[in-house]
Amino acid sequence: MSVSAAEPISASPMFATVEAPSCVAVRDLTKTFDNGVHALGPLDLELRRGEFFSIVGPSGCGKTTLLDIVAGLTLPSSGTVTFEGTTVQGAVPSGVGIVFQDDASFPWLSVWDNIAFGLRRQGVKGQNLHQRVDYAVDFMGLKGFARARPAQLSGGMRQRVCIARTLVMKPRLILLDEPFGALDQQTRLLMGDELLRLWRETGATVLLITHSLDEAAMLSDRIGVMSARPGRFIGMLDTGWPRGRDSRIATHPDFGRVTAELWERLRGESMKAMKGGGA
Amino acid sequence: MKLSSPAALRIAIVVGAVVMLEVICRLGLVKPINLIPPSAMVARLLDLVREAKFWSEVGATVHNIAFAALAAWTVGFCAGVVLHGMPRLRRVVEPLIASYYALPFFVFYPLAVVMLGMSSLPIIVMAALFAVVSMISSTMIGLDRIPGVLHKSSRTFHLGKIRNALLIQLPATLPDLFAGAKLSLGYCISGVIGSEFILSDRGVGYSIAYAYNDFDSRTMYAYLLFVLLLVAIVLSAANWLERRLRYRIGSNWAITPTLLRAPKLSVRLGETALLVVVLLAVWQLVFIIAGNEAVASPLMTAERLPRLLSSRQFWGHAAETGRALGFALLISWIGGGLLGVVLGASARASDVAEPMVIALQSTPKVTLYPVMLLFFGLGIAAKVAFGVIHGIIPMTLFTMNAIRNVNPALLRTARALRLTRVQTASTILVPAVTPEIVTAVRLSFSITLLGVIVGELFASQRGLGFLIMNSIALNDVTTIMAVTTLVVAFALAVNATLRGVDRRVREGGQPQDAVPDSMLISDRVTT
Repeated sequence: MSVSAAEPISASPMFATVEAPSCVAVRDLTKTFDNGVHALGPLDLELRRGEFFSIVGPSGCGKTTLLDIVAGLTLPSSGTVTFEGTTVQGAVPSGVGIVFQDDASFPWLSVWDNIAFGLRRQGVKGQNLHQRVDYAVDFMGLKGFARARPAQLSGGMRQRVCIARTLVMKPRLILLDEPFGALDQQTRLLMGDELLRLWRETGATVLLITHSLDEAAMLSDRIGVMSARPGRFIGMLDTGWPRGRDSRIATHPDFGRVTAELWERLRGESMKAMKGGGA
Repeated sequence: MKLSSPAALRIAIVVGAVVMLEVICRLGLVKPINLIPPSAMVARLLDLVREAKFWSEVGATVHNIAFAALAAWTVGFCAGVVLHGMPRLRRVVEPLIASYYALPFFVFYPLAVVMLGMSSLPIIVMAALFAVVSMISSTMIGLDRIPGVLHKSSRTFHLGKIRNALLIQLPATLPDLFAGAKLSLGYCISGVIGSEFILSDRGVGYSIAYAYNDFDSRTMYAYLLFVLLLVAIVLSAANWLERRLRYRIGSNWAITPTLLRAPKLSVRLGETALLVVVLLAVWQLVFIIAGNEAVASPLMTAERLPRLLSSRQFWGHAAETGRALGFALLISWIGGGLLGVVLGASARASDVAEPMVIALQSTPKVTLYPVMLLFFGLGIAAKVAFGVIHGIIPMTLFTMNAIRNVNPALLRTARALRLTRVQTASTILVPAVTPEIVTAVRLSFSITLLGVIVGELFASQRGLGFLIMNSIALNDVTTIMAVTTLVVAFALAVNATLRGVDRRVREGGQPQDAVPDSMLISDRVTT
């Protein structure tokens, strides 16, 4: 079964979906690990330029593997991934930024130097470097902590450092692998708002992996639902939320229906995964 | 600092001990030949530091320590990087690394003297060999500790191999490299002073031994005080720096060794056989280079073994060493265990005691051997005492930590289940602390054996250490090699058995189970 066979679970009557050119195209993708575990596919996926796309699915269904393949961190067993028309194969394409679930801040560098790390590798220096990093520090609410080390920050602040380090490079595609997984609910909501603000201002395409149905429903233009392993898309949900949304969208009358429909599709798969030891 | 703080209490204990020693000596409760008052030690040390000879001896020792440490750091770092990058080779040599500190290392020193001559070189080589494995282990720990997400981040920034090594791996491993360097330095100090003690004509170790042989207790204790001060200053500075590095780096990163899946028994046996063949080949190569005046070949040694094992003289010496080891182990295990339980039961007591026990552990105990001889004479008691001062510390430290680290949720569960104290002890506490105690028993065995053998090498009239020293005097290289081989085989066999027991009791998800023994040793214990 492939994504093309997956039907939209619902489409909000309130908002129209913006059609835009393709940013990422995944075709006939499969992944089988060396130990024989068939993790993914076959599946297809198309991300439109500038959209916020989330993937939800039961534990162990291959969400992170899919993201790693799109990022060029893992090779697929078969199939192709293209980013802006260029095939992705074994290396992270330029223009792609990734934020991981685990804390990836460099503990030996200050907040400021962490954020400047990628820019320095690109040869950005002097006034330009300072301007961009200072802006990112300010923008992510890290002012006053620029000289602090990650060990002096809370988990949420460290994750903001990692997001800033990725976004300061102005990526055209942002891949987020459960970036708020380790945070408490209130911080997750606030971080979600910040992420939406950044997404609007940069115009980047976002691919978010998450366990949280609420988070996916709140942040996304479209949501892909994956099956238990081997992961395939079993549904696509077009939320149709306005671009200027924030966490208060959770009070929208349609919000509960979106999460309920997601859970309806996911429940059986999660039970399968749990019985199979995946969850 | 509050008067009731652990640091203040520690200072009070040390000052109290010094005052008590002073009073005991001044009242004549101890003979001046055995122990002198601390004030007299300080006075004699102040006299010594004005003499050029003192600084010449100190210079020789510092020179040896510096070169040994440099060699151990460099070789250890490179070997650690290579082994980390080659998981299969790492798996093959891991048993050797894990058992390395179970070897009574100083038995090789007389051989080094025979091969390299009576100079600084064998001292440096021995100390570097003694220290190198802790640097290898620490390098591997550091690389194992780097979270996978940092490697992924490195790829997102398109760092090449060299930039990744310089910008990610090196800073990320820095705290562990520093810890390894500190451990290695401790081993180098022990190795150099211990070697100078046994056979040398220069250095601080030699000066202590010379003063002892000359019945000059004042000078001997002044040198001992100098060594203790030197070690305290060097290790305090290193600890201070290490704490700062730990603060900066992700000290909570878990160790995830890049170990391969457990191989089949046939593969495992084949790898072990290969390792033995390589070691024998190296031995044969050393024999070819050094000649039969310096070292016996594996074949010559094998031919000597049956004769040695059938001689009554050998078994007499072995029985003497066995008796000393047995007594020392009993005292270390029971004494250290009880002390650990008492200290671990009180959070305050363990807060006060832990840094003191660790400081004692870092002290080169070889320097204390003359003191043992002065108090216990040349008989078995001195060897036992020397074994005990080695073995009791890790036993105390591990038992204390085991008691202190019992999960409070388990104790709350015991209360919720309304268990009696006896039931709580037998069903909760004992099973919870057993794995750590077994590790303590294993480690203290190795270190106690080392202490007993070193005691026999330094000054003794019986035992396997004495047999080695006697063979050196008779230039009987083959007997030296044969006895050394037997001692090493015994140490490795017992260690392997205890490791098996250790692994068995840790089955069931103890977090340390994933950590190779060499890392466990270098993480917690220095000799």
